[in-house]
Amino acid sequence: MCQTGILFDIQRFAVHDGPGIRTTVFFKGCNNRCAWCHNPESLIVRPQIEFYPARCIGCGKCFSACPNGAHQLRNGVHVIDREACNGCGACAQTCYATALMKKGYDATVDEVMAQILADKPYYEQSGGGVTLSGGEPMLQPEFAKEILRRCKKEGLHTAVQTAGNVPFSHLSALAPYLDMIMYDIKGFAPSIYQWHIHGDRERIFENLRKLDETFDGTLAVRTPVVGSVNDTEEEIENIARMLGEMKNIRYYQLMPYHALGKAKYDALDETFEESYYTPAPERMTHLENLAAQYVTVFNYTRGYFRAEKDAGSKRQ
Amino acid sequence: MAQKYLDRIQGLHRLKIEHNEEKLRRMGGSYDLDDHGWIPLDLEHEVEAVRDKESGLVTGMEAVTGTFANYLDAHPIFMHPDSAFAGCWIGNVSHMNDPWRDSERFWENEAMLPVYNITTRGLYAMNHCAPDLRIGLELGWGGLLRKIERYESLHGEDYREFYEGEKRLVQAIQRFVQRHADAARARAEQAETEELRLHYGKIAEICAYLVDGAPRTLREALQWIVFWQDVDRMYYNGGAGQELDTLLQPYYENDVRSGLITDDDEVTWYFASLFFNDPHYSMIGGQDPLTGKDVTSRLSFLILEGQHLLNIPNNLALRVHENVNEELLSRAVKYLFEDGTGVCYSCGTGLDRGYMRNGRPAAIARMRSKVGCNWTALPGIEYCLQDVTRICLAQPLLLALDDMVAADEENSMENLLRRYERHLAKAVQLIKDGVDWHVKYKWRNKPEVVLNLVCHGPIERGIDMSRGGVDIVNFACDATALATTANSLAAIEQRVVEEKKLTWEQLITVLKNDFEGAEDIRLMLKSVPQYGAGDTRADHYAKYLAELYTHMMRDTPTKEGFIVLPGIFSHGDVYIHGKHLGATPNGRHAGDAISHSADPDPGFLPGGGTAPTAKANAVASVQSGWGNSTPLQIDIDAHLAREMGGIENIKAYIKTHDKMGGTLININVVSKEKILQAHKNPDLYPDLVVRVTGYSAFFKSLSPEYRQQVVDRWLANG
Repeated sequence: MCQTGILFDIQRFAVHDGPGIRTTVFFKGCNNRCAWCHNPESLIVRPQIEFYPARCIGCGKCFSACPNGAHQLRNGVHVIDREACNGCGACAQTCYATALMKKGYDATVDEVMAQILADKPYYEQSGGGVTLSGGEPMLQPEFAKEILRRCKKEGLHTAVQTAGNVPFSHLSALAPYLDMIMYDIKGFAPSIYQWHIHGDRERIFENLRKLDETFDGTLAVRTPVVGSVNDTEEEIENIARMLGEMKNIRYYQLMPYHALGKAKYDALDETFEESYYTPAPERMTHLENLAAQYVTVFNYTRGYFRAEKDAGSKRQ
Repeated sequence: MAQKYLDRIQGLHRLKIEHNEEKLRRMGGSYDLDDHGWIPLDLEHEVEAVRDKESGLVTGMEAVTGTFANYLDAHPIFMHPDSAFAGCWIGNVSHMNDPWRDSERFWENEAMLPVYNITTRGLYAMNHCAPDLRIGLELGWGGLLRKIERYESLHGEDYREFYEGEKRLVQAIQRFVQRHADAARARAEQAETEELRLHYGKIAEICAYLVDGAPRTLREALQWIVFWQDVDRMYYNGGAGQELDTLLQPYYENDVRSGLITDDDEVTWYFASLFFNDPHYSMIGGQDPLTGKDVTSRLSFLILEGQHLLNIPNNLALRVHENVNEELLSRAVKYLFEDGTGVCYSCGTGLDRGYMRNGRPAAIARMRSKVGCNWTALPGIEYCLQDVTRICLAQPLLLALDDMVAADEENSMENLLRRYERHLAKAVQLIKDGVDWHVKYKWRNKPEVVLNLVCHGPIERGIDMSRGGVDIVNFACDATALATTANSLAAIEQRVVEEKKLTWEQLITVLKNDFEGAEDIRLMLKSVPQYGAGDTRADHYAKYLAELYTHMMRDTPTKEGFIVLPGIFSHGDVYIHGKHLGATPNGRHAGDAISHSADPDPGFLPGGGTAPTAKANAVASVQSGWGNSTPLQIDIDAHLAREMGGIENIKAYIKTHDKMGGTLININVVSKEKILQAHKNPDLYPDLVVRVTGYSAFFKSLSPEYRQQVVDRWLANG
């Protein structure tokens, strides 16, 4: 049994990752490559170094600390040779200015549980609990399972956020320890998977259908609505229609894309895709109303809603 | 809400903004205090000081009450078409800044206080105890006067000065009330509309009656409280009110029963008018002292509604406890979300449990009402001098470091802490000696002439409340700079002792030089795991400091036998203590602000973030546990307020902190964008109200450095 995993963050007082006040554990590593991902540090499994030059005080300690000579001066500018950097974090340890930050760390289940249990009284009072997120938590199934098992032993509400691009056995192995699954369907058209997500569409859809058949907890589906990718009526309606044909989808949530991850792309020397945009609030409302023709929709300000059967035209 | 009452309340809101503009002009652009409700008017004529014959100062009962009476006679009259009540205060009684008599000043103590960076020293302080307004409401000013005369007749010549002084004050208040009645009558006669004639006619009738009579109706009771609030404020900014719902419930019920009140909207307007008059600290909710049952009533909601609709700086608290009224708490959080600020949440579980440890029964502990910035007190029976005595935990550390490195002994954590404890003990003793001196001489210099009237004992015994006029005497002291000191100790332990990245001598040098040319060392010291992250060395030291200070302050009484109850609260001393404090080993520059109350520093989590639950856990872990408050300050993003489940989550957060032994929660809700814009250009949001520490204020009124403190907290929220 694996007692250690790799994470990139643990957030406390998380109020958008399931009911009540929660702690969200972010697993590092994902096998999709959604080009709009706002957590670029979550994608690859091994640790990475973020570099924020504005905070650098020029002490130079990172140059000597790095065993691989990854810190270099090129034309008088401090750069990281990403090929040479293995993410060991020796440089970040010497960088008290926090210009260099190691993203990703090994954590034992005990360490994770210590942080989770620190807020147990808030979960009990609010009906909250623990959410595993990422990255893709299902890619570290044994580690995730052990955390969830320990949480259930403590009587905590448990949830997972997954994109579902894993063997179904990973999902089914964790399901007995889960009260809720938030399942991402990021698009409907095969081309979106081919060009933007780079995940196995058929497996993702099939896993959701199987969960719908077998999971006895709360099953919710979420779609990040990304301007220029899937913010069309056709996309959202196709997904909603598919969900409407299922039996146990508690709700469907549309989440507008935001560009808050840009600073992190820069810090990792990775390219931020500029062509995506945030759909206007009116557009989001329209798409939600469209989806509500088929499935119960959830929105943080509008709550749960379902369209009337005779609500007129589905399209504006 | 009936439109006519809503219009009046909104009129009062606008009037407050206008007053604030004028106050800012008079105060030179900013003021970092509670709004206090004062109105920018001028005295009608100059005030003649009455001076003590011996010292030539305004000290002693005769001089104080004589000057006070002259001030009241010169004070302007205020009433407004939108307010249910007449009366205001425009500033403190003139000539009261005189110090105590030379022969009764504690010179030796005063000389030592700066060594320990003690600026808010308790010694010489005024007020900061709770009145029991039932006394005044039951007797009225006339009844109070007759009570004084009755007890004077039972006492000998030695007590004459005391009784004559209190009589002089009450008679001056009666003249003050009478002038309001006359002015209201004149306005009624000259009124251009029937509505105004009736409005001022009613005020005239009430004021004329209240010159002598005891209030019979809710409106009369509130008008009596308004006059009392004004007089209390004039005398050294007294600001303690009472639990308004239980205090006024009998009047409300009686009025409803007799048909005098048929519209609760009118009652809401009364309370908005009360809060416009003055943000005296007051409370709603809580437990019945004897049965422990929640006391929430219809009136609790109307009081809350009045505060919400008026939406100006306000100091109303809601008492939370195990069986808090869910609907009242939901309503309070809802209004907090709508207004950005609102009531603060006084946590009864920890407060009551703590005060009972002093040997008091549960009923007494439950009576201790939240009527001050961070503090609670027993209405009318406790002399406690809350919130005016603070001790800086960081200064003894700098003294200990200097001593140890200069001495011929091993430099070690153990020796540092041994010396730290010795210095802290000296600072604690200074405070305690100040308490004894205060009790010995205060009554001869600055007697509590206003509070004496509304306490149980001073008039009956002919003794000032500070001298034994009330039955329960326990003092208070609040520690500051907890996070600053805890993080400093953790930084020394990690960087100097364990990692040996810095020698003790180097540490002293960089501190003396305020890290000049040593930014890398400053950042190295600053980057150790912080207090609040949970299970760090700094967390360990925060608990050590809190326990050490608590034991020193509480375990032994003063030499005269008074106990001092410890808490952790910084108020404005984040700047004053910071200004006089050298650079500290947590990477803080000399002169910079110290940490805020018992809160972890902004960005205390690994990676520089923060989390409300982690913060609340930290504050709960360092509670002193003797019944005084160690508040938690939280800033919630406005986005959460708009979301489903937001109210329930904040309610759960409040109730959990109460359950964990927390004592007070102050919450602001505002968007980061708005607070940044308001900081840049305060004129954009003239009515943005924030809870600064225990008190609330217009954000615009604060100085740039106080505004920065609020902004810093927001930036740390990520």
